[in-house]
Amino acid sequence: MNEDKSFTFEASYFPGCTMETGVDESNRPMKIVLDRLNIKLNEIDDWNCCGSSSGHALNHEIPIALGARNFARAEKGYPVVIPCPNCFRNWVVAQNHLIEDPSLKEKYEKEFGRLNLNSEVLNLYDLYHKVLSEAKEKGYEYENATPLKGLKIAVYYGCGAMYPKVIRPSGQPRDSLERVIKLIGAENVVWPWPNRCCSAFVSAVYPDIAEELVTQIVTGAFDSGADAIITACAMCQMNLEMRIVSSKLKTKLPIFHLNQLLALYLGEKASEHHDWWKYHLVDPVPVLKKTGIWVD
Amino acid sequence: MYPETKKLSNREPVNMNETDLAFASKIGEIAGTDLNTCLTCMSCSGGCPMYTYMDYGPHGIMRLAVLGLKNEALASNTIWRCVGCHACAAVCPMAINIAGVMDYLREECLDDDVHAGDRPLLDFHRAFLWSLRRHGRSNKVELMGHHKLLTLGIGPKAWFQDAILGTKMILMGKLHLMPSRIMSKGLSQVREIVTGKWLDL
Repeated sequence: MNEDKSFTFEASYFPGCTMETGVDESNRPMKIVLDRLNIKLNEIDDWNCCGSSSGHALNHEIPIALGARNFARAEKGYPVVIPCPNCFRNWVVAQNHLIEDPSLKEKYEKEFGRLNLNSEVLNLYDLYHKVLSEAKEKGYEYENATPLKGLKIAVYYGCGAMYPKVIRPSGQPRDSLERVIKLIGAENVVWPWPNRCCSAFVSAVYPDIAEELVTQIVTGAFDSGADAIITACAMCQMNLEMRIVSSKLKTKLPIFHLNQLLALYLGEKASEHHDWWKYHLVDPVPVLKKTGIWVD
Repeated sequence: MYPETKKLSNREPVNMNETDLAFASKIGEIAGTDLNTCLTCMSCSGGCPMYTYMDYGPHGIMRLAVLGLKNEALASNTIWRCVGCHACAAVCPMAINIAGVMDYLREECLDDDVHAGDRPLLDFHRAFLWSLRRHGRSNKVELMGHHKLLTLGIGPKAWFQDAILGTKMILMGKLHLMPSRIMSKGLSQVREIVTGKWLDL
């Protein structure tokens, strides 16, 4: 399918600090998924942190300036793909400010060179949704695709999918994660907390607050009949797992990365990937075995 | 962490001669949103994940701002316990950018040298930005270590909090010990960006 080496999609890639230092259990399947879906992502050269939650907390100029430097480094003419919802939000907010205020743009162009503000900024799960649904419309079937039948998933966006009104003035809530889950043959569960905050950095300072919020989220998913929670945000995944383990929670649901389930759908065998599952604090193997996805 | 008693209930009448009535419009200018349209419907507090642990809650901060009670607003722990998840702004019927207002108030709190309502959280932000200054990117392990030093073991659990879990995660390779860095020229650019009053608190 890939003889002429033409890719269905080519873009710049901004991994973000979390994906860069850790989270191998998501980086490894992501490589496989991108390869199977015929997507080429080129990492932005010498990118810097987007400022995360702390940048805009202490100074409103920090995230805009950091964003400007990243926009200057992004390759011209390619969209930017970002796996982390919080980085995504910071990028888009910075882009919005820089477009609206020409004097800001001028100031940073002097400092960093031309800013590629016309590049579209995409969330990784929006990209997956786009590619998978286009393939389905065209009737294209991926080799060895195995629908994950019987797996009941609670889709957890985290608060990264909530935008300031400047970016998303109105309209429907996001649903690309749910659609991806449907496309790979798993079942969506209707549950109360898809956008609830996992407590983000407060988890590092006040673990007891985080434990309470995570207990609420995980119990909500369990009571709605989910086998597992799936998240696109590596930070949420880590927060949820850490606080499930440290709290007194009895219902320990595994937390998957979106990339892992997509890789399984695209033909990877769960039993061959101890290099993913070994990084999980809550062992996901029993759930995979129970739903018949794990074949020895 | 116990739920906070809300300070808005049973308060003394406000003497409007002593308040800063331009405060709300000043916030509005900088945060790009009109606070005077607030209906006090409390949707923001209803959706806030941290409401239980705040002394005013987002709707309380909106009220304080509109009434011009600047000192109370800047000294509250609400502005520091806000995680910036935008749940409030997403549900606000008047489209007020409440999370943006919180950002502005935190900055104002530092600029006016007001005693921060929640010092450990301020120190977390500082530790994060220090990490960013050192490498141009953040590193979680280093950040947590620095935060423990900054808070000097405030509270009985602070020194050993998450020590076992954290060590386990480093040993299993979930967190990398070594930071990822950007190149020297970029680093000086980032250091020029990431400055402010928080540096020498």
